[in-house]
Amino acid sequence: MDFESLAEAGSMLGSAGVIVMDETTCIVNAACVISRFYQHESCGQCTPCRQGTLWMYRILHRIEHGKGRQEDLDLLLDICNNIEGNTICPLGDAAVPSVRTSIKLFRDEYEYHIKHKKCLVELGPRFE
Amino acid sequence: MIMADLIKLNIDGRDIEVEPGTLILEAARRLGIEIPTFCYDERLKSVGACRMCLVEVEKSPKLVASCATPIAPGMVVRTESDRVIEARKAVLEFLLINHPLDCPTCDKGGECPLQNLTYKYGPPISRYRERKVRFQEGTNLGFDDLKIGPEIWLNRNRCIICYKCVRIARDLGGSTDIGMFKRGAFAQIDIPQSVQYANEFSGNTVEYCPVGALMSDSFRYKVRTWLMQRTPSICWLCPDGCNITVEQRLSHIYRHSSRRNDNIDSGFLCDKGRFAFDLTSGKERIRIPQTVVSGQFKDISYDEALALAVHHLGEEKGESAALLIDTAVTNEEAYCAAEFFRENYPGSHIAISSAHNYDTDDCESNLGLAAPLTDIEKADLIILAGCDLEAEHPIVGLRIKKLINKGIPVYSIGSRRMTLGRFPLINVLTNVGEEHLAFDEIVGNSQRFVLGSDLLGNIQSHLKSLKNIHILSGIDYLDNPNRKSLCESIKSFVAKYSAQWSILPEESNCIGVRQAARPNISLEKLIEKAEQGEIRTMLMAGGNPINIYPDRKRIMAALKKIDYIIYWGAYPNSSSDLASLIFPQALPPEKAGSFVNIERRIQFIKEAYPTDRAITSLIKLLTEIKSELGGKLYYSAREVFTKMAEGFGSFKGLTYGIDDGAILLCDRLQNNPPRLDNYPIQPPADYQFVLTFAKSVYYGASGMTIRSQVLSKLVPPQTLHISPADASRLGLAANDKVKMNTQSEPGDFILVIDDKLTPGQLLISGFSVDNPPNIFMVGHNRPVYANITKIN
Repeated sequence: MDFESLAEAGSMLGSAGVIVMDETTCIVNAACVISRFYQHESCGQCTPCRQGTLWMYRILHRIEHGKGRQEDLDLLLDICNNIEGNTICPLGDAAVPSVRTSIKLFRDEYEYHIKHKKCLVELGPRFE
Repeated sequence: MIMADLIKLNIDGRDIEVEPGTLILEAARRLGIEIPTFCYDERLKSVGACRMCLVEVEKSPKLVASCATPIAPGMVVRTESDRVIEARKAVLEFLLINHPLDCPTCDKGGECPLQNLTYKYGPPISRYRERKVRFQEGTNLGFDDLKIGPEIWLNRNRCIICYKCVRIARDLGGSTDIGMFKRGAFAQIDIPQSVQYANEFSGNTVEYCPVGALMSDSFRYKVRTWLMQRTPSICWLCPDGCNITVEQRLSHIYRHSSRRNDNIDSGFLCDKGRFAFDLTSGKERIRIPQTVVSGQFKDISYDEALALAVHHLGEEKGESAALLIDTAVTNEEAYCAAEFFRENYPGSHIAISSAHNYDTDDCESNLGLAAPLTDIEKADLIILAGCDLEAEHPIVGLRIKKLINKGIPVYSIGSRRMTLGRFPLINVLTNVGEEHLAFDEIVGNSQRFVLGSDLLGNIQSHLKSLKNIHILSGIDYLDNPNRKSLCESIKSFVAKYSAQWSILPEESNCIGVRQAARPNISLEKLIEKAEQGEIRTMLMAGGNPINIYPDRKRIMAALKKIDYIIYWGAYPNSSSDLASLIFPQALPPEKAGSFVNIERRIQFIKEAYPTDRAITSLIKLLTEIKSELGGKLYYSAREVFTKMAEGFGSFKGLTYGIDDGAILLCDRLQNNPPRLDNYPIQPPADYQFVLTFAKSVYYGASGMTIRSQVLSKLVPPQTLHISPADASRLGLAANDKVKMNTQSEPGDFILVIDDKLTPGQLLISGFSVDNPPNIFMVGHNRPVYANITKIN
């Protein structure tokens, strides 16, 4: 596990902290919590990070609470593209992979959430 | 200076060579390529916050902010590639999602960079389905507007976090009273608790806000920007001569905004010039001629007033006629009036109403800046000798602040510690009237050690290596009791270190009026003549001499002895009260003409809107009088100027309107100017203090600025200052009510303990109608002695 191989996989090593999740974790819930962290940590100096991280969090929060729309997934990917590479510091760039790869790899879970207004994996732990 | 090698780069397929350190955005501008931006301003430090100016640089994986990236050799920049356009669209969408889009009610609508760029790059519809971030303030009726200072309102919903206001407050005003609070999408501009945002440059934050987040109280929700007509003009409230745009609708001025002139103001205005726009529309303004009927002023028609003026001026023969002309009039008016008196009344007296004595040897050769402002910026060392830049010349102060930022030493020699916002001045403090000893000691002519060896060593080591030295003197020099000694000491300093010395006048068109009117008598001598009953008729052209001559009782008594005073002015005041006939004055935006600023730069103003027939320029008034009495008739300022250009002093050869910005030569006005005198400080037994005076930055036009409703919100109250040592000796505390006794008048004040003062002096800061500072004064340069007692 090094910086390059993780970047290839669509993630990043960052501070080398690792969160292990099994199949009982709701990926929408996890992405929502991670994006909440980034919108909270954004300093607010540059526009894409300041506005983009909040926007992503609010959409994910909506999906998580059963108010998602089908077009939200493409919008999220668009926002990811619009933040990435346009910010002063790497915080904006770091907020992108968790949202982008979770949609890429677990699109069915998102779609289930949007359609059925509830989680595909109901037994696992939920983060608030 | 060795020119650094130019760096070659390519922008949008075009090659350009620029100096190292240039930003990509600046280099593009030179090619005429405009990169959109919200937060960039070449006069402020880059923050790279808005990300609107992202451009593609070959070999750089990320887009770069062109406002914060210096160019590099061989760089290939693309400013209009698909990737760049996409990024601009993305940034605009981000800026707009939480923006309230209340353009129909927003002050900035019509001149808003966010609006304009949204037309160009903005998304036509919003994809934002969430609730907008709202910084709620009070009820919905208030539009979430928050008053952060006496004149400034803030709407945080509209803010796009460009940091311009923060940088303007910090770099211009030198205050940190406005800043960024919280973080992320909830980051907001705010003021610290219990602080009011007010400094002498606060209005600039409103003008340069790229959205309508900052508003001025006087303009808020009053008029739409596209409905106003704009006329280029010059500020006439101090001699700095900032370029302004007068914005009016239906003959009502709604605001002044800056008209950038990099030679003078660089686009920044002080609050006096910006917010005193309502002087033209004041309620008390004189709009109808008046005459005195059985001790009461009575409105009369303009024709009746003209007939009266013609009658009284027609009876006048010569030596008993006097013209007292204000300094806030145009050069043409001054020339026209003086010419009328010289030709029609041989032997008549022409004087200029100014607060300080300029009719002296030192002012003959040193009045005005010795070099243009852009050259002052190249100085190696600045010495302020009795000049409170913050209050007297805020725009010159901006240049000095830039110098301090560059590390140029700026000394101030005087009896009180001068400040320049948060910018450090090196203060050399002396007792009142002993400023010359400091200069003597530097030059090496004095045995008295005022400075202390460390300071002296520092100054002398600076002086050894530096070549371009400027000394700026202001009011504290002009009013100094030992002005003669100070002048001599400065002159020997100037000779030894080949420095340049500038005496900066306080009044707005002082230099221009002096050169155009050619006074043949000083105000003091004119008062002597009036006291002896030698003046029968006086034309008092504008201003308020009683407010400014440094002995109020004396000038009042002298003017009362004059039989017939014709006053031409804009507001009733203590001087107009003594007049027998009053004509309404057209203020600068209502007439055409020229002004001369402290650099001796001549600048022209245009008539912004027509006024009533009775509100006239002095040229028009005198032409109507002269059509009855005889004399050359002028129908415009241009005609007067053309006459002056035929061969009147340094106006010779200039063309009206065309020579805008030309620098006038310094005319010698008198062959044998009166010599300066010293008035040594010797307090009589009952008085322990010397009384000194400090001007407020908001005071101008011989006190007319107190008529501005907008400005009156900003003016701090008049206070009496005492040094901490004296206060503790007398057992006085801050905010004590005290009675001050002087040899002339007593006065009640609120006491301020001020560590900027040296012991042994009291300082009156500011102006008030109840206690105009000149009621305490006893003549030019004469020291005033005072003592104080506490009132319970």
